[in-house]
Amino acid sequence: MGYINAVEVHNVVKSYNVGFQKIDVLKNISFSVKKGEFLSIMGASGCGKSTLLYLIGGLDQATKGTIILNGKNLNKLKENEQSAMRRREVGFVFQFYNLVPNLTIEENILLPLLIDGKSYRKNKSKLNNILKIIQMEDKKNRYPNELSGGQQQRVAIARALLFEPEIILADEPTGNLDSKTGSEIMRLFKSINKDFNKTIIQVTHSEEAASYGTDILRIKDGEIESKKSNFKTG
Amino acid sequence: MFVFLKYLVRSSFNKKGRSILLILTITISTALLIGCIGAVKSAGSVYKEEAVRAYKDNNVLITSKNTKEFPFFDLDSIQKHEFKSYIPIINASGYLSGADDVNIILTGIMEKDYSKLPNYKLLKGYLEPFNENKIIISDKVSRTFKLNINDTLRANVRGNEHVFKVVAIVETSGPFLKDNEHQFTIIANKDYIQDIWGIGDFYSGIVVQLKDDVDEKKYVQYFNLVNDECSARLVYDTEEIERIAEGMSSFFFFMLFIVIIMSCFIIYSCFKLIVLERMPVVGTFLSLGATRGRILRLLLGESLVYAIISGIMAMFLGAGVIYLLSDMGNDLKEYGIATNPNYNVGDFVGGFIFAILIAVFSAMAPIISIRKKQVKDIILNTIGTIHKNSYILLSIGLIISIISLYVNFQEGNVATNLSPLIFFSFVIGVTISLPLIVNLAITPFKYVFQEVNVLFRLALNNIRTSKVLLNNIRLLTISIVSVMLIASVSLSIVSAFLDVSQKLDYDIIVQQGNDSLRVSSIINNNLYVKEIMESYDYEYAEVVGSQETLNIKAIEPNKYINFNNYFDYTDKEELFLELDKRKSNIALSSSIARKLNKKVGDTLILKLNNREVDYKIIGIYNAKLYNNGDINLISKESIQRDFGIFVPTEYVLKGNSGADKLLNSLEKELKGTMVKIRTKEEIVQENIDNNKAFLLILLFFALATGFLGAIGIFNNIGVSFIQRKKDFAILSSLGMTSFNNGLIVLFEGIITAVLSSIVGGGVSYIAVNISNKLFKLMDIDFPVFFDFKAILIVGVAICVIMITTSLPVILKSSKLSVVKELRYE
Repeated sequence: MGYINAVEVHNVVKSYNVGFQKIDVLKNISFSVKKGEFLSIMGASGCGKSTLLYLIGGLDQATKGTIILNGKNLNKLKENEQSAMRRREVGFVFQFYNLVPNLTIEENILLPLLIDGKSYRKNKSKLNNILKIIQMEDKKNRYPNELSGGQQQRVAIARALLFEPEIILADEPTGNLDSKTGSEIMRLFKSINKDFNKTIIQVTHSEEAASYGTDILRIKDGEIESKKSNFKTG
Repeated sequence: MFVFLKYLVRSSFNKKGRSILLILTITISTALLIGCIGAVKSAGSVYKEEAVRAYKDNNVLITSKNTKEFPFFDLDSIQKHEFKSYIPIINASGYLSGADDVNIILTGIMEKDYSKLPNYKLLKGYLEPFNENKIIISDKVSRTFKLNINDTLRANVRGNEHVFKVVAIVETSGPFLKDNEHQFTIIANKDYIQDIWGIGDFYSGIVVQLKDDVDEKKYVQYFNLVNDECSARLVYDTEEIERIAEGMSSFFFFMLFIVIIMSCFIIYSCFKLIVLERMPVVGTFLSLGATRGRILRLLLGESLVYAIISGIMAMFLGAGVIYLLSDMGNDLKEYGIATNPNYNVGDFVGGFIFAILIAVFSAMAPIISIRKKQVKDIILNTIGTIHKNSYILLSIGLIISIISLYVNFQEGNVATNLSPLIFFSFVIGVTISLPLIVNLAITPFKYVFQEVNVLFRLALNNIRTSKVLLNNIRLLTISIVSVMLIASVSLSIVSAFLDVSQKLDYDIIVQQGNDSLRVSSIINNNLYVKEIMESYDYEYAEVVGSQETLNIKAIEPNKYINFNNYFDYTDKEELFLELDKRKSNIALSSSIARKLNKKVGDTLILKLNNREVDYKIIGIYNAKLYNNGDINLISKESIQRDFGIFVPTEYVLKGNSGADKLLNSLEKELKGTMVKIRTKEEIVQENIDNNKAFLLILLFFALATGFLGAIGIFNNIGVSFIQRKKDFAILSSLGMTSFNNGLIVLFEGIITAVLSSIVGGGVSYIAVNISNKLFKLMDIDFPVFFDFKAILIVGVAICVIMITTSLPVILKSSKLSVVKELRYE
């Protein structure tokens, strides 16, 4: 029987030791994200929203609690399995794009596939399709530093989509963009969510960006303040 | 101001590894500079010390010319009004009865002169009257042969046994300085020696102390000009010592220059990073109103901090290097002459200034580059670390190296005269254009590995684009050039000597002693001698109208043609045919012909034995390492006819029953004649041993460059990881395991090693080719060939270094915190 939840977060605690002081960034958080949901996580700086996103993506480990991603308990996955999961089942999009600077756009987009041992040639058509979606076919041989912020973010989204992962995690995807470009990027996310039925979890400060999501989770001081459906459409 | 100073001191030592690298780099290059200068100066001091111990205040030695069959002179024929004091001597020789292998030099002096002997210090005995068979021996001989006062010493002189009575034991210095278990000096009354040697009142030499107002150099020149019977020489000739030291030191300084280039490169790279790292703070200072000038001074101050510390350390290390190099070059240790390093304060101060200059100038370029940056970019720290190839610069580098190669392969003297410039411009040109070369080499593989292994492909791409990783290839290339140059030169020297032995057809060489008629008679009548070739060597023959002197070897052309297959001749038959003609013909070695700017058909006026004769150059050949390439042939007949030289310097012999029988027989018969009998193998070994110190010192430079290269690489690999931590974190976020991240670092190390070995091997192959001309310029015309075996060893060693230095980074990469590198909140 297939899971209806893409992500389940159960009683997650994340603590850091700063000097002699222990700081609880996330305090016993539980929620779930359904498949096809577009969740926006909001909150003030330092409230723990990005930490939560990295925990969901398996880039960091929770101090306590369980995270289940596509039916798999992250705590029980070995490093290799977690890496494979990040390649195949999750796509990441970051505020500062995080493209590999010495690889071309084409190479950056193909990177998760190549890391997974897939053939470059066999995925060429897939690459061309995705370049068409992000409207950057003519820039595939450029390097990241030759592109604008918006273009770099589109490449990062393309990279996240290439493996056709079920879940896309985005950390402040419009945080480094002007409002016009930010809106374009959010519309792209919205269409990915709607047209390809992908689960998207984004962390954002922006009410406008959050409004593109189907649900909004608000965090305050490491605790869930609210989780509501968002009825407005972007 | 105080804040800046505090920041300067703190930031200088923030990164301990890099601080150590910078300090070591500046210290090593400065210490080697101080060491080289000091060692070259010290080379003379050993010989000076020897002269002082052997001759004390005496400054000139007059000896009878050994070119005569009766090598003695009448004391009255020598003008003495410029002498302050003098000791006439008569030298004879024999061997210790009952101990065939112990030669004795019997020196006769006048009775009144014994107290004038240099460094004379009586330890035991009483000399008055110093007559008949009474002798003085050294303390060393007394102890070695257990001889005491009133003991007798039996010596065989010219086949007759003579009994001497020990009456005095003196300190082992002056004429006894070189006494050892195989040869020693005894001093007796000159009448007794003249008597047993069978000559009248004649002498073989005079030890002279000139009057204070006499210019010793001018005296020697004048004496040699007017005297046919005797020649004079200085006991310590500064110019001669400098001439000997010059040949070797020029190669040391050449190697030192490679070390300095490498050091400049490391310092430059470190400061490039320092500047990048300091950007946020520099931005803060600028935003607070600090001027660019102050920032530049601040960063230059940082280089000064390293320079001062290194300069001080280099003084101590330099002193050690001077001692080490001087000690290696001191071949008079066995005579008790201690290494006397030249610690000149000026050299140390110079070294300190050099440390400051090398540090500040190498750091200057990256520091000054800040001036071109926008303040906004500095404050926001948006200056990228990704290597952007400046194709103009890379192309300039390539063009420089191509032009250097073009000039190198030109015929004529231009390539030789410009060889140091060609060498460095080629190496520097390649070093500049290396990113271009690496890019061209890597790009095809990048596509090949696209389908094979993404980790390998990423590693290839990182090397192509990361400045720090490219710098590793640069460092390794310079190291390989340095090591391969030294390995090739060492191998070539040893092979050249072996080549000499294989291509010269003889069994034994007998070097003339002090009883030429007897030596000639014994050799000519020896039963085991099959073939005799006489050779007449004359050192420092003058060429009228030129400052150059040359070594003349007068030979029997019809025999020498078969003996010497070592030289490179253009037409051997023709050359020896011309030499055999009853004319004044000469064949020059190529290095001498180049120095004199002469060609076949030209003439020159040779001056030997105070006689000037016109000689026609009938051939030029490459003498390679034979007598350092300075060996010029005339016929035996010519030297006798034109210059009146009738005593051979050596006999080149072939035996009829093998070398051993001939050797044993001659050693027995020639005992006590002071000849030197050596087999081919002994001569080869002697030549190799003579060059051991030189090769050892070269190895020292190779180790210095290797060491600098290794620590530079160790630092660079660490830095490249720190710079690319975020890239590795990105890869992790895309599903790369930490093990695979580590593999990328390992592949980078292996690819760097392979690429460096290929590029460095190629560059050093050409560098070795250029070094042929460098040696030619230093008047050593011998083939330096590439040591292919060494490049394989170097390649493996580099792989080991790269893998070893990569390991700490691989460990670090496994502990990389992805979140820390990627998050911005």
